[in-house]
Amino acid sequence: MKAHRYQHPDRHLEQDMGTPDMNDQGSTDNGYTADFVNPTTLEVDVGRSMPPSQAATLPTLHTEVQALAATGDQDGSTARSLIAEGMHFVGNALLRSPCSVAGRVEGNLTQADGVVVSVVVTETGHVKGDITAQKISVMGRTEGVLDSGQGEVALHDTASVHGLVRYGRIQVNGADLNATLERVAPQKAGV
Amino acid sequence: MELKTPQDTLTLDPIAMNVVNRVAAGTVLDGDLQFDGGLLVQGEVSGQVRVNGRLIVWTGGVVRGRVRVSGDLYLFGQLGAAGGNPHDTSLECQGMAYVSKTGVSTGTLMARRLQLYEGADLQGPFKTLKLGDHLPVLHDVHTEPTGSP
Repeated sequence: MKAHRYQHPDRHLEQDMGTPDMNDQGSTDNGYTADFVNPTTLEVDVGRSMPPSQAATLPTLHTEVQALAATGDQDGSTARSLIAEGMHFVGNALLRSPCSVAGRVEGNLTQADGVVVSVVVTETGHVKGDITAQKISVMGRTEGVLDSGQGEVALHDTASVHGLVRYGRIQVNGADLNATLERVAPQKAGV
Repeated sequence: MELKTPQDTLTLDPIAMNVVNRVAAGTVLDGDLQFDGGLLVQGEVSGQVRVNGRLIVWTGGVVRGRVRVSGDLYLFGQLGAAGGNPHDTSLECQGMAYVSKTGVSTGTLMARRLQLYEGADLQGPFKTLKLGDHLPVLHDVHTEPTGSP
């Protein structure tokens, strides 16, 4: 983290005198104290965030992609499963490839053993059930457990998430969240 | 799928944000506390705490107990005791809650919106406050005229 200081044009005269006051303890090891002694504008690195919308970079439900899924990708490495908008799927699914949900799912979406998959719930998607996958990205609505283990969970500004979220790394960008969050500690080597 | 963006920076201007109260590093405050204007916590604050403004919990700062914040929350430090029970600490924030990559929360966090940055450690429940949750409850309206008897 770093903090930049500059002279605020509206700062009070007494703050420009440069005399130490009772709060002036100098800098501490965290490097922040001195910056808040004389109130100035600070720019603090807070970590990575998400832009408000990532439609351009996230998988979208184009017809050609659906055709690809319908015909099946023979090697299975790039196939993406789709629950299209308007589709209502009831049941559990075992995922061996990435999955996008734009429709409604009542059931569990579970990553198969030995594979790493990502699940994207798009803005129109609604999942009532548990999602277990290494990468989970939600722009729509989920009710249930989101379990990425030590993986990543990304909750976008349009997301509505209720239930339990288990994550190794998480990003939340203003989502409607009513959930218990549980961080999964990284596994130690040799365990 | 690339979800990462360059490091975000948050700009804090204590003057513009009216952060007029400060609990310095090394200071421990406990009890029924009310702060008018924003509060910067670099030490430790616990008990029944009400902040009529923004609350900034700086790196190294700790806030525990029942906390109500009328403005935004900026969490760089710790909310709740380390390894504490989510029921021991609860914070209700009427504004936006920003939890940076250094922020740790073991308490129950309620806020209108949440901005959680990668690396933040949020343990325990989070609840998004709805508009209806902000309607004044009985003990908040004692200064308001009641209209016809």
